[in-house]
Amino acid sequence: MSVRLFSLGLFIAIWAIASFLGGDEQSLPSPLTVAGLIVQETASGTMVKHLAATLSRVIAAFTVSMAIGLTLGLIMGRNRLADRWFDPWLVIFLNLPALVAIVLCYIWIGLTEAAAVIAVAVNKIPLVTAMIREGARAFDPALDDLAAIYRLGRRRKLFHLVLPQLAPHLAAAARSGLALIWKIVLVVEFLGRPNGVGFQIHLYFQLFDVGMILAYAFAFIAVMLAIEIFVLQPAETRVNRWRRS
Amino acid sequence: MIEIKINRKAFGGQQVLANIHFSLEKGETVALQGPSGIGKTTLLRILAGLDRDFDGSIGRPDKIAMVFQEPTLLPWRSALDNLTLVTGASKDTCLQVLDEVGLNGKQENFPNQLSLGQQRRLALARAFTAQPELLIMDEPFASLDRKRVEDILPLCRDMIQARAVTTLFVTHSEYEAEILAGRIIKLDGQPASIVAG
Repeated sequence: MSVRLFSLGLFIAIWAIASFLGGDEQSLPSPLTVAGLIVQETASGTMVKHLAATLSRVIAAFTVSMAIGLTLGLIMGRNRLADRWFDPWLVIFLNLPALVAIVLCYIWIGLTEAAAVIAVAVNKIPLVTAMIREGARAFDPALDDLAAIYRLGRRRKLFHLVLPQLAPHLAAAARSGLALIWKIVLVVEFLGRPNGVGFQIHLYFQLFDVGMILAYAFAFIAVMLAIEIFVLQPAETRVNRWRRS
Repeated sequence: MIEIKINRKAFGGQQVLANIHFSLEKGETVALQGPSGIGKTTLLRILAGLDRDFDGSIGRPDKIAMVFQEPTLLPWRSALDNLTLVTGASKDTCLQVLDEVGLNGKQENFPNQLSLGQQRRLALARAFTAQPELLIMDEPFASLDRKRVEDILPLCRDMIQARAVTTLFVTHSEYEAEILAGRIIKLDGQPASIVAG
């Protein structure tokens, strides 16, 4: 922990020195200036409103991506025919540039909330599918025999055999997914939403206000870090407690 | 009565079992023996319904339980959950069977907190908790030392006898066959067929 704090402190120190040596607060404001802007925006309520808008889009896109990716990954990992059929599609969507998916969704669906969430999900679903497929391919066949012999129902099999075996892959997909999704959400907001961190960054880009751009970016990074520390890590610890027993 | 009629079982072009016909009387315990790789596990899988790609017919009851070569437990669930979740039996019933196999006080342990001998006992407990009409065991005491086998064998015999469950098990050990089985069926040849029993 102390190493992490020292590392973070070093990063802020390098930033402060670079800002001081640059001598141009307009191009690279100091950490103190950015911190002041975060406090100011939070106090006015503006930042909370935009953070909430972005966070709600991240949660919606994350939920949709994980649900669809988990289903497709399981089907492809467990069924060779389905894997052969859908593998080329997966390769296409894995290589589809995020920007293309976003622009096409806005053109086809319109500048709506649904289009924004779908655009982000379209970018993330192939990655979740690929990761879950690998996990499903590595299932222990002995546990399938166990389920068949003792006639485990679908629900019981899903919650007690399938999901626990997928847990490491789900955790990896969730972590990488969250990191990717919020970055794409910002692009989606930048291009076509009337609120959110991406919208604010677009606004302050037009005003060449680097301080406000950094303030919103770091505020949202802090939110995502809090989710990682207070939600994802405890959930992972709980799911994996049998490994450490 | 359980009827096994396997006329032919092949993997690709390789026939492994031929004309294996026998039956098990209700409550009977039969040992299946033969050289390694001859097809004993394949026969058990056919009987259990895990392998349906064969020429022949199987008459078996609906309620079966199997003890695999490996304990095959859910490592992410406690010993008690391994019984309740898999067999659907009540907590009280499961605790009673855990007690019977000598795992009282271990119900909250994860399988990786148990020794191999205890894991095998847990697998045995799971099978009996399911209250099967047919119990299939594939080398259930493999990789246990003689002392552990001497501990667990009488326990297994008593549980089988108390429940009068029809049992077919594979073993390489004459000692295990002698303690548990009323009859021994021996497989040999290529493809394998019954040579004794």
